[in-house]
Amino acid sequence: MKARLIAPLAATAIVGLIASGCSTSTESSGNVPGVTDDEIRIGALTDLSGPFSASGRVQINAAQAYWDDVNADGGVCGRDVVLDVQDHGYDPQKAVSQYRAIAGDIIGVQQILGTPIVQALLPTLTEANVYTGGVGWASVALGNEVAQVPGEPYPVDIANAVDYMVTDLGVPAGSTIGSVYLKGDISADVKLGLEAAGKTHDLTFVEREVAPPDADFSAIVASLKQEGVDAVMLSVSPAQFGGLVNQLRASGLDVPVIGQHFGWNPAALEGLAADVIEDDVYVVSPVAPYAADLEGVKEAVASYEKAQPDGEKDWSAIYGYGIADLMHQALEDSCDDLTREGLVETMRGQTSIDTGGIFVSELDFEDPFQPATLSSYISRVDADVPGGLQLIGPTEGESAPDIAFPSGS
Amino acid sequence: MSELRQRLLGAPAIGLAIAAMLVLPFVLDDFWLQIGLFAMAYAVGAIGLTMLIGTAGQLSLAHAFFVAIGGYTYCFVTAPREPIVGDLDGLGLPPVVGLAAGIVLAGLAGALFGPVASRLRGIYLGLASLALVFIGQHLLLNLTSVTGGYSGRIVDPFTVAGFSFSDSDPVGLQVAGVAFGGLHRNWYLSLGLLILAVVVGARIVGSRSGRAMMMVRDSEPAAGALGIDVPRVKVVAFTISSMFAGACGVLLALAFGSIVPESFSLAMSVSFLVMVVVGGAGRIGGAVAGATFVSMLPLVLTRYSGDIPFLAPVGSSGFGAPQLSQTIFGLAVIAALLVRHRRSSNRRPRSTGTTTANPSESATAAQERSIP
Repeated sequence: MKARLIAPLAATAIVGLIASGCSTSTESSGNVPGVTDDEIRIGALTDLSGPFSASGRVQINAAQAYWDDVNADGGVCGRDVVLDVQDHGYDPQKAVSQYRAIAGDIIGVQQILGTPIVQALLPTLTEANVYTGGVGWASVALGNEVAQVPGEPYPVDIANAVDYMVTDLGVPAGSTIGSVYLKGDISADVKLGLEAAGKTHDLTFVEREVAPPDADFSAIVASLKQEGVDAVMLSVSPAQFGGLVNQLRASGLDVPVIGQHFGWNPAALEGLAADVIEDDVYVVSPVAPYAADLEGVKEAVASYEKAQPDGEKDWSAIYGYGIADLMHQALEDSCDDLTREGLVETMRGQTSIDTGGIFVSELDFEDPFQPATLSSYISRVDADVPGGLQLIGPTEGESAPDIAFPSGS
Repeated sequence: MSELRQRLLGAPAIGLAIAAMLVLPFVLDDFWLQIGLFAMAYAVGAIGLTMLIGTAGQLSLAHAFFVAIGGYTYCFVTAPREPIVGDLDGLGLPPVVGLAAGIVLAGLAGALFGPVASRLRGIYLGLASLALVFIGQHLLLNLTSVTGGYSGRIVDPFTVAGFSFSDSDPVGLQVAGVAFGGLHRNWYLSLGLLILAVVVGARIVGSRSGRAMMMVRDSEPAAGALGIDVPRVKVVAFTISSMFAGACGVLLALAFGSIVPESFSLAMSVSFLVMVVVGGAGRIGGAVAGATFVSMLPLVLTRYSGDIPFLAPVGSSGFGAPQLSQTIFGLAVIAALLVRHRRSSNRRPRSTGTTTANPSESATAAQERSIP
C-alpha cells in the first residue's frame, strides 16, 4: 500500500523538478509569436525528402535567396526575416507535429507544399489565425480566411487552356477533347474546369485517369485515337508528361497538347522525343515560366542564380520567389499592426497585388471564396530556352467565370 | 516466481508511468503534446494488432483500413447535418456516439472479413488482408460525400456535457497556471482510452477466449480436438483487433483535427506491424512501447537532427537532416529487432529443455516463434 502511494508521489516530484528546469510550456507573454525587436520568423513546411523533393528544394532555395536579398536591403519593418524550413516528406503526421513545434515561434507560414498536408493543417491554422501562403492551386484551399491561393486555382487553368484550344489552336467548337489526369485531388478540379469550358463551346470530353506510377499509356492513347480527339489536356506528373506525348505522336495523333504546369520540369523535357518537342505542345500555368521576359521573373532569376549558380532552371524557382514576394508585401503593409490578425487582415485587404509578372495579372485576395485572378499563362515547349518553356502570354477565356467552385456556397 | 517478481515490480512501475503521464501536459510544449497524442492513439491500435498477431497468430496488413473506418465514421457521425462550408454529409450526433460508432463499425468490418480470415493463415492471410488497404484507399477517394475524397474531412472536437476537447468551450481554461488548450485536453482523453485499452486487452488475453486464441495459434488441429471452434475464434480475434483499430482511428482523427486518405495507406499498416514486432508480438505493454518508439522517433529525429552541425543545409541535395533521421530510424528498428531476437533465442532452450515448463513462459516462447 505504501509503495503504491510513494511511486506516484516520487514521479510527480521528479517530473516537477525536471519541469522547473526546462519548462517550455510558458508562452511569450503578450508578445506576438515570431516577432522580436530585430527579427520576424516565418515558417515553411515543404517536401525535401519525399516525392516532391525535386521541386520543393528549388522553391525553398529561391525563397531563401529572396529573403537574403531583402535582409541585405534592410529587412522588413526594420527587422530581419528568418525562414524556418521544415521538411515533412509529404507525410501529414510529420507536418502536423512540425507545425506544432514551430507554431509558437512564427508569425505566419510562407508555404505548405502538398494538398493533403494543407488540408490536414488548415483547421489548426484557421483557429490560430495564421497567414498561410503558398498553399498551391487546388480549389479546396479556397474559402479559408487565412489561406492565400497564389493565383488562379486549377479549374481556371483547365478552362482557360480549353478556351485557348478553341480560340487560338484551331480546335473547332463541338469537337472532342481528350483529358488525361492523375487520380486524386487534381481529378475533381479538372472536371470542374472541363465542365465550364464544355458548356461554352459545346465540347465532348474523353476522360482517362492515370495513377502516379503508370508509365505505359498505349491503351489510353489507343482509346483517344479511336474516339477521334481533336486536342488533348494533360494533368499528369513530370515523369509521365514526355512518355504520353511521345506515345500520342507515335500513334499518329498530331493534335494540340496542353499540359498543366505541375507536370512540367526540365526532366519532362528530357523525356520528350526530339522530333516532337516543338510540335504543338503547350503548358498552362499560374506562374510565369523561367525564361519569361518579364521584369519580376528576371529579378527572380537573377536572385536565384546568384545564390544557386548550378540550381535547376525551373518554374519552381519563380514560384518560390513569388510566394516569398507575396508574403513580403503582406508583411510590409502590416508594419503598424504586426500581429497574426493584422497580417491576415492586410492580406485580405490587398485587391491589386503586382508581382512584376511572376503571377499572371494583378491578384485580388479580398474574397477568400473567389480566385485571385481568372487569367492563366500559356507557354510553348521550346528546348532552346532555359526551363524549356517559351512564354506566349496571358490568356483569359470566357469559360472561367462560369466555374462552379464547390465551397462558394 | 517470475510472476511474483513481475507483480511486485509491476504495480509501482505502472503507477509511476500513469502518474508521469498525468503530469506531463503541465510541462511539455505543443510539439511533445502533439506527438504524445499520436503515440497514444497508435498504442491503442497496436494493442489490437498484437493480440491478433501474437495471441491469435494471424498476420494482418489491413490494420490501416480498420483505423480509417474508425476515424471516418467518427467524422461522419459527429459532423453537423447542414455544414457551414462544403457539402459533406453528417449525422449531427454527439461525439460519444461517434466514438462508439467508430469502434463498432470497425469491429463489424473485421467480422465481415471473417470468412476470409477463418480460411487462410500466415502469409496468405497477410496478402489477402492487403487487399483491404487498397479497397479502403479506393473508397476513401471516391465516396466523396462521406469521406471528402482526396482532401479529407475536418474532425469535430470531442465534447462531453458541454466541455469541449478543443481550444474553445471554455476558452482560456487554465489549470495550475498552465493554459489548457485542445492538445492538453485531448491528452487526458487519449490517456483514458489508452488505459482502458490496456486493461481490456490484458483481460481478453487472460480470459478463456484469449487462451482459445493461443491454442489456435499453436496448433489448429489440437485446438479443434479440444472442442474449440477454430474458424469462430479467428473471426472473433479479427473483430476484437479491428475494434481497437477503430478506437485508434477516432483518437488519431482527434489528434489530427482533419483526416486525409493519404494517412491510411499501406505505410501505416506496415508501421503497425513494426510496432508489434519491435514490442514483441502478443505483449500488451510491448505494443504500447513499440507504438511510442515507432511513431515518435521519426518525428523527434526530424525535429532535432536540424541541430546537428555537420549536415548539409536545408535545400541542398547533400546528406541532410531528413536523410539522417531516416537512416537512424532504420538502424534503430534493426537494433531493436536484433536485441529482441537474441533475448528470445536465449530463452528458448530453457522452456523447451524442461518437461514441466512454466506455462506462462512457454507461452511467451511460443509467441516469439510465431513472429513472422
